[in-house]
Parts: sequence; C-alpha cells; structure tokens
Amino acid sequence: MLPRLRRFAVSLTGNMTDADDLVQDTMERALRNLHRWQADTRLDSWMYKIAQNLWIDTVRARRVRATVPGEVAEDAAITDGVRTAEARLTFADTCRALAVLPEEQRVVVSLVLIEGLSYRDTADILELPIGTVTSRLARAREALAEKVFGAGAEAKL
Amino acid sequence: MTLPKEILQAYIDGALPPGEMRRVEDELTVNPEAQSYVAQQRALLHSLRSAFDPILEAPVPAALSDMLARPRPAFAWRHWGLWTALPSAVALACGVLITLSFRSGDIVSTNGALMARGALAKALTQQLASDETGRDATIGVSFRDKNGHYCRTFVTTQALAGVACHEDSAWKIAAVEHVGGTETNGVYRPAGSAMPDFVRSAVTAMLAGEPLDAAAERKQRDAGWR
Repeated sequence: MLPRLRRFAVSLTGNMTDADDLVQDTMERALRNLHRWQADTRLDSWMYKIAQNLWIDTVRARRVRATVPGEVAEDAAITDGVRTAEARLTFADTCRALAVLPEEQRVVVSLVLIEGLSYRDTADILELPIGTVTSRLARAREALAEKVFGAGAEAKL
Repeated sequence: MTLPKEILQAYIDGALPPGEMRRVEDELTVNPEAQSYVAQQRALLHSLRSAFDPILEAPVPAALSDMLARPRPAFAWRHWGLWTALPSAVALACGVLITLSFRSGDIVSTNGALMARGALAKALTQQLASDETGRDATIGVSFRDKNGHYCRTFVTTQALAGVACHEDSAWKIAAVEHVGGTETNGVYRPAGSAMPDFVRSAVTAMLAGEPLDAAAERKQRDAGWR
C-alpha cells in the first residue's frame, strides 16, 4: 500500500519531495482516523481520498505546482542505474505532459491509468458522477496523446 | 456501426461488460482508425505506467519508514516489506500492527482490524482512570460512542496513545499513534497535556453524550463494558 500511495503522490505532486511529504501527512491522518474508516470499504480507496484531499488543500494554499516536471527522473530514488537515457526521456516527457493537465484531470489519470482503479472506485474517491470521471479522462487522454505523440497524432474517428 | 471514443476508452480500461468487449474487438479488426486510436492510447498507457511503476520498487525514504517504524525502523521495515504482498487492507493494518506491536505485543490485527491484547487489553478492561500504580497503561476518559460501544482512551508504557472500543468482548483500536514524552521508572508520561490532540479530536468525533464520571466508569467496569 505504501509504495502505491507513494506512486500516486508523485503523479499528483510531480516531484519526490512533495510526494513524500504528502504520503507522510496521509499516513498520519489515516492512523489518527482509523475509527472513521468503515471496514466494509476499500482501505486503499480511503487512503487515496485522504491524499487527494490533502493535496488539494496544499495546492490551494500554495497556488503553485512545485518544481519542474521531469525533475523526478533525476531523483536517486528512481534512477537506479538500470534505467537508460531513453527511458528517462520518456519519463520526463510523460511527466511534463501530465504536469500541464488541469488538477482535476490529472487526478483522474493518476487513479484510473496509473493506479488502475475502476471508474466506479475513482468516482467514489473524488465524489463525482461516473460520467464526469469518464469525460475528464477522455479530455486528459487527448491532451496527453497530443503532448506525447505530437499535435495531430490524435486519430480522427 | 460506429465506435465512439468513450466506448474505445472503456474498452482499453477493461470497463465494458464481456459481451461488449468482444463486440469492440470484432469491430476493431475492420476499423483501422479505431485500431490506431486504441494502439496509440495503449502506448500512452504503457508510457505512463513505465514512468511511474519504478516508484513501487524504489526504496522508501527513512523519514517515512521511521514514521511507521519508530523506534526501530530497520527491523519494522523488513516486516512491512513482507506484508505488502497481502491485499491492501490487510497490508496496512499489518504494517501498523507490526510497527506498533513488535515492541509491546499490545496491539494485534484480526481480520484487518487492530485489537488491543495482553497488558493493554487487561488495563482497558480492569483499570480505572484513578488507578495510579502497577500498570502497563494509563487510562484516560471512558465514554459511550455513537454505536453504543464503550470506549476508553489510553497511553501505554510503549508510548502509544489512542482510543479503544469494546466490541464483541474485545477492545478494538479506533485510533492510535506514537507520542512524544518521557519515561520514568517504566511509567510513560506524555509530553504536555494528558492526551494528544488527535486522541481528543477522535473522542469528540466518536462521543455520544458525555464521558462517564468516576462512579459510572466503575459501574461499567464491574459490568464488563457491555
């Protein structure tokens, strides 16, 4: 759970430092509020929700999205020596594309595409109708495809 | 037959009913545009996952593992690693459990819930807030929660502060955290106020009516907290 929460936090914050701060705050809040967690609901969803809410608070407080996206690739925690320059480039590109998305689209991408949650679970975490989740996801996908594969790469159907 | 992007998206995400999945697969074989959209989106998905998946394998910084593993991070961390293979709900509970209990044995996990055991359970069942000597834990306030269970706050000699509620003849931990403080002759004194803020806010959230006074506390103790 902790590594997954961490991955989610990195995708939200765009850098390891903010991500680890967020994970720490999330764990603290979760441990203090175990009595609020209903045992018949998914614990991971609950944790994602806490992290998401904390991050929204942080963003509102700071009004900035910290550091240059792609910087994460330089982080020692990720560049373990096995990853190639090519892989880092891909990572930086992907990160940069993700970073320019509006906050509300990025979190949907994080939960559905990166964390692999269902539309239903994502809708529950974000307290949104499923239709809103899928339409945000569709918009985010188009923007990401354009960033990663270049303008006009979007298939016309 | 046309394939809207919403359908293709749901197809890629595996969010369609099995019959629909097959229908889309059939359509894809004769629709190159849809095919290229799916291929592109799969590549995007792959790119996203391969960008972020290494974080799952990356070493977790000491600051985080320390938080979960005080006071002996390295020891607790090995166990945490072991448990992450389990389903997530159990994993967190077990992580917390191992973290908090390897030193004291006071808190264990049963079916994903944290339960008080040993000396802590005994103190919760028998001890009064006014008891001062020969103890493993200090009991704070006792109260009835919104579900009708009796709950009590505690601080153990292992620097754990929290709230436990009596359910099905056992003490279920509703909130717990390591706290700072000092230990004198094996008796733990939390720094500052008698109870950390988070315990108080947990109690406020759980409380139905007023906390028990000393007479009511004794009466419920003698009645077995039912």
